[in-house]
Order: sequence, then C-alpha cells, then structure tokens
Amino acid sequence: MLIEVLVAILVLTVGLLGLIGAFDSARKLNLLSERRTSMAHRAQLELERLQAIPYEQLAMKSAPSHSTEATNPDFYVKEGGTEYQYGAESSEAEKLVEQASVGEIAASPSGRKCSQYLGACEWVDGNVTGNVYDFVTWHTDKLCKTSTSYKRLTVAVTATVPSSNNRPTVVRISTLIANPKETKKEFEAC
Amino acid sequence: MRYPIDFRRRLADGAGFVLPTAMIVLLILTLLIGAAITVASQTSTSTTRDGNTKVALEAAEAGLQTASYRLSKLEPKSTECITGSVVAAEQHCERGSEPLGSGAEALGNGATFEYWTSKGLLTGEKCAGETISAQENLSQRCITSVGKINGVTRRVQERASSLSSPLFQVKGILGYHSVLIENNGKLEGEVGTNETLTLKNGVIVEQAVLGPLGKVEGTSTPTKTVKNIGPFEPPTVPIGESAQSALSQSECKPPLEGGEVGKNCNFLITSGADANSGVSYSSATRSLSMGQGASLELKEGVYNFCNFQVAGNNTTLKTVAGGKVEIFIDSALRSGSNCAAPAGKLEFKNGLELVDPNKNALYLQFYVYDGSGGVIEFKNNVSGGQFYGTIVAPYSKVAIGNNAEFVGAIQANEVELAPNFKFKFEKEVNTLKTPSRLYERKAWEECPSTYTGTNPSEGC
Repeated sequence: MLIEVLVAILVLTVGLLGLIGAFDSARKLNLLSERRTSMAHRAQLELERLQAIPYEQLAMKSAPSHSTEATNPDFYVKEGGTEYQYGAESSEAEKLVEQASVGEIAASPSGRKCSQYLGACEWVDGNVTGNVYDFVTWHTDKLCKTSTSYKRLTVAVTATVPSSNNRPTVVRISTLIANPKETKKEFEAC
Repeated sequence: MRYPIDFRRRLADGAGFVLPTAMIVLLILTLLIGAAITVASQTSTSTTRDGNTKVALEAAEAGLQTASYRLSKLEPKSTECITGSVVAAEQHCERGSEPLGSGAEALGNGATFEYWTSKGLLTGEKCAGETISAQENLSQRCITSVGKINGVTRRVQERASSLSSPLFQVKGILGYHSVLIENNGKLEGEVGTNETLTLKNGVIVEQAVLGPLGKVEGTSTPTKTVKNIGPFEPPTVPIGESAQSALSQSECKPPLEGGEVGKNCNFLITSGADANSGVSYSSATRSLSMGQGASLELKEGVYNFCNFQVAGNNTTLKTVAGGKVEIFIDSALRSGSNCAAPAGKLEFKNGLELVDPNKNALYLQFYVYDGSGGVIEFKNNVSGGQFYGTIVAPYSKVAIGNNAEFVGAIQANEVELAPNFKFKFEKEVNTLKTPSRLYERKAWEECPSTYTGTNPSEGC
C-alpha cells in the first residue's frame, strides 16, 4: 500500500512537472507569437505611413551607421553608410537615398516615439515595445537600368525583450515605390 | 449500482487503487499538455502566416508599382501590353486564352511578384471591381499583380489611366526659350515663351502667354498678356516607329490617331519621284533633297528623313487632296534612328512652292526630333497666299520669313519670324495630342488569392 502511494506520488509529480514545463513553453511560444504579430502589424503600419509620404521626400535625412550586432537592423548597413543590404540572406545591396534637405526618414529611432514622429521610431503596443528602422534605397529596374529607377522601402521592426526571453527575429518588409511623375525621358533608350 | 467484484474488493481493502487513479490523472495531464502545445504551435504557425501575408501583399503592391513605371516608360500602344520587361505586340499578349505576365521577379527576403498588364480597356470591360467607361484622350489599363512568399499568395488589381494632353501648349506660336518677331509682324493667336518675347516695331500680337520668368521686350506691346503660366515643358517628339520602313503598300497607313506614329512610307518617294526633276532621295541614308526646278508629290502617310533640304529655285512640293502627311526629321543622336551625322536638317529655302489642296494645317505636319541639325529654315517660299501646316521642334531654332501667311501652329525652342510675317492659329490643331504617357492609379482592390482557370485577372 505504502509503495503504491509512493509510486503514485512519483508519477503525479513527474506529470505535474511536465505539465508545468509544457505550459511554460506554451506560454513562451504564445508570448513570442504575440510579439511577432505586433511586430508584423507595426511593420505594415510603418510601410503604409511611408507610402503616404510624397515621393521626393522619401529619403534618409542622414546616413545610418553600420552596427556590429547581428540582431540590429543597422547590421545590414554597409560600412560607410551609403548602401543597405535589403535581403538578410543575400549579399545584394542598394544605394541609400540620402537627401538631408528634403528627406523625411530618420536614421535612428532613438528618442523618437512613433506616436510623434514619422520614420524610424520607438513603438509601443500594449506590453510590447521595440524599435522601427526604415531604409530607403534606389532600386534599379531590370528594364531601364538607371541606378535611380525607383525606390525600395524596407521596414525592419525589432522588439525589446528581457534577456531571459526568446528574442523574436527582426520582421522585415519591403516594397517598391515608383516616381508618380516619371515618364519616358527625351533621348532615353527605354 | 453494481460494481465489479474486484473493484469493490479493492475499495474495501484500499489496495491497488491509488496507482490506477494516479495513472488516470497522468493521462488527463498528458492530454492537457498536448492541448497546450498544440494551441501554442498553431498560434505560432498562424503568426508566421500572418507575417507572410503582409509581406506578400507588399510584394504584390511592388508589382503594381513596377508595372505602372514600365507602362509610363515604355509607352505601349493601346493594342499592346507589357510582358517581362518589353512591349509586346497584340498577338503576344496572350498564349491561347492565357494572358502572358512579367514572369516572377524577386523582391528580396524570399518574396516575389508577377504582374499582368491589359491592353487598353474598352467600354464595358471590368477592372478593380468597376465597369469601364471609355473616354476620349484617356488610356486605361488593368494591372493584376500577385505577390508570393513561403507559399502565401496575395493578389491585387488596379486600374491605371493616362490622360493625353494637347500637343500644342499655346494656341499659336511657342518658343520655349524665346520668340523674336521682326517689324510689322501680325499674329492672330497666342505667342508664348518661358523667357523672352521680343516684339519689334509695328508688331501686332493678339495675346502673349508668359512663363513665370517670361518678359516682353522691344517696341511693341501685345494686345493682351497672360503671365505666370507654365513653365512650358518641351514635349517628347512622338517619333514612334516612324524610322522603320513600311515593307509593303498595305503596311503604309495614314497617320494614326491619338498621338501614335506608325512606320514610314518613304518608299513612295522613290517610286513617285522623277529622276530628272531634281529630287534626290537615298533610302540608305533617308536623305531627301530637292534641287533646281524639282517637283515632288507627297502621298498620304508618315515619312521619316534624316535630312530634308530644299535649296534649289523654282521647286514644287505637293500634297494630295485628303492625304494627311506627317514628316519626321530624325537624329543621329537618337538610338535606333539609323541616321549618320550630319543629320537632322530641315530647310525649305529659295522659292519653294507648296501646293496644298487641303488648306488645313493638320494635313502637313513637321516634327523635328532634336536640335542636332541646326536651324530649321522656312524662307523665301511662295504657296499661293497661305501655307498650312504645323511645326513641332522643341529643341531647335526655327526661322521663318518672307513667305505667305502661315496658318497652323509652331512649337520650338527658339522662334525667329522675319519682317512682315503673318500668322493665323488654326483651331483644328488642338485635336493633335501627345501620346498617353504617365499612368496613375485610379482604382485598387484586393482579389481572392486564388483564381480558377488561367487568367489571373479573373475573379476580381
């Protein structure tokens, strides 16, 4: 009888520990999902905000700095700050559009709340916080191979998490914006 | 209630009950663990998909932007579309009933897009949820774009339209840089410039139209002046396919409507010119010249010359009744012109008689591609009282003088009009339009991501 009770306690203990562990893992996974969902929403929101900016003003105010930290979106800014690697898994890079006089896009989100500033900013969504990084690069059309055919907007969103939590990977969304006034130029081949 | 004997015995002596109960509880816990993990896993999958749908939508949007850009750059005719990165002729827009698209293009980070552009939309066709109503001077196209990433697809559609504008930006004479009218000129219509309009003694101008930096100089004053218009932008000379030869009589067509320009009918000159008449034409160099006493009749059609010079005395250039003629002066600087330098010359000098039975400026149109050929001269000619025609040479200097009254419209970089020049604007030239160029989004909708059949624009 005593042995049976002890064995039962052991079995239940193992089961409960497993349950606690599983629920904790599920909680962490759900938390990660919640953060990733918020990040994706923020990225889309940011891209839509950028699409509302006049084409001429879609430019970096200043050149962003390269970061040595691989989890920082600025890691993909090339040394010198003139090019940005838009694909995280490829080495293809494009020239950043930098026009200090008319550009609307800040290079760093530090100290810029998204509720107050357009472009790179610090975002808050419920309990989830993080940074938004915007990059505007010149995209070369495969037809008219001028280096300034139209612009690529890339939004990279990070989330700030305690060190004990799983860090969600950076959410990165790109699209292209053509100059709404661009027509065939005289004496141009394409 | 009847319990099995063994179970009642176990209850009675309390032996062998605890462990089965624990096992049952463990089973329940296992089910709970499984449920929790399944829910978390599904949430994660759903989150990943949610992120991918956003990326796919932006990829599809990139496809629309790319298609609009290329439509504006490539200027396809209303019967053409864009496949890949080239203009495709009507017969190449579909394979069977399947429209041909751009092919998948990479956007980076695993996302791709592909788009399909329609030919010019006609009344009754549908796009982006709307039924099309065709309008004059409006070119409308439907663009469908599909964005994809990691098996997630989004499909969007837009109606893009491009509005043609009148070729002549003022109702009369426009010199982008300047207009100089010598003594006693009389102009019925507008005279416009971005910079300097010089009116010498006794000049009569109905109305001056000036750009923001425009000014009037000289000793005469326009009857009326309108300021701060423009600035006027030189139009693209709509040279189209005019440099390409028509291969047969059947392919030699009258000038097309809507600013589109077809192949040239230069071969008509070879067959119609009298070798003894002083007309000299080389099909290899596309150079036409008329010497002493030369006579040439231009039949209806489009002509493209690298040079067109009339220098001899007593020459005659005729057009035919009802036959509209468009003459393009090409340039060695234009890619695909096949003109060798020196090229781009247009000179009508010294006693050319223009015989025009149509008495309508639309029936004799001159277009000069650039200023590489030097000054365009229409001087010392006679044409039975009036010369009907239009000149579009936005990068050239045009000098006209000592002719009969000019009826039509002129658009050039610099215009110089000799003493006693008479001009009358002809309203009918307002029907000439620049080709539709700039495509703008007019309607947008998202379509179901999948479609039946092979037509990607179906089901929107």
